Amino acid sequence: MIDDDAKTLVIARLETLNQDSKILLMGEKGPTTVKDMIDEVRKESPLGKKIVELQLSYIKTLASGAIDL
Amino acid sequence: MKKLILITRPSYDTPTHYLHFISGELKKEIEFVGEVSVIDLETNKATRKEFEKALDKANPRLVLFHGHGSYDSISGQNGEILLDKRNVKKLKSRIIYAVVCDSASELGETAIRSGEAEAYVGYDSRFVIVIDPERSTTPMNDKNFKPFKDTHKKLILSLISGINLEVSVERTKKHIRELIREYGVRGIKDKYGDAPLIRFALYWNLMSLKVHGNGNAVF
Repeated sequence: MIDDDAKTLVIARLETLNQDSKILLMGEKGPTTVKDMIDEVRKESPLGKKIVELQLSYIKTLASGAIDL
Repeated sequence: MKKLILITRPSYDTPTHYLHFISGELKKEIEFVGEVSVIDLETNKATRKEFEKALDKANPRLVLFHGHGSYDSISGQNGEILLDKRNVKKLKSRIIYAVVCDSASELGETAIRSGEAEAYVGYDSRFVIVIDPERSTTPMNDKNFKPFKDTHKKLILSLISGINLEVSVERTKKHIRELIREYGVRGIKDKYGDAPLIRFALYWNLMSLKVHGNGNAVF
């Protein structure tokens, strides 16, 4: 189960992106849009959980200055 | 005698189409330099039978996988399993770089422990690429794809040049961090507003890239 605050934060961040932008995830047959990523987070699927985990880690890394904004 | 690299590069859906392109460009570059020979198992040759035959007959030092995968297997053309625990012993004494998803979490460890591979580099989560929404069938013209192509090439060319695995991976990670910075700070041409997603996808690959086995391994 994903923490509600984390889920809300990650969805809010993903909603700032172009919803039609596409990524290719090895393991999936076709492209995944940002909109699909948000759906995965909402469903709390394994992919959704991974997106939340990495988004939170990404935010922390940016905030720490390890990678500049 | 030239050193040998075995490359598997199926192509049957959009993700494998992109990886087929990436590895094709890399192959051309390696062949242009001429110091290393490439065994190219592309499309219909990316089968388990051809893969095992190439390992047994040619004995390549470095094996580069491209395509789909899972925690415990790597696929070839049309999803045929090329590598799993049943034939992992064929990786003995080799260096592996698997540009497939998830394989570094379990298969990577199995390759070292049971297969006695010297080293295994791969991703313990999905391998991610951002594509230009308008060019998903022409990777050659896809600008969003470029940073992912560059990082892939960086690791392999570094290894081939004789730099050990650990340093090659660290250099690649440094390059990924620089790209994340570059896509955030500088005025990158970003027609579709994809730069923030490219940065996140690069970060995803950075965090998923893992090494098992001997970090001092040299090609």
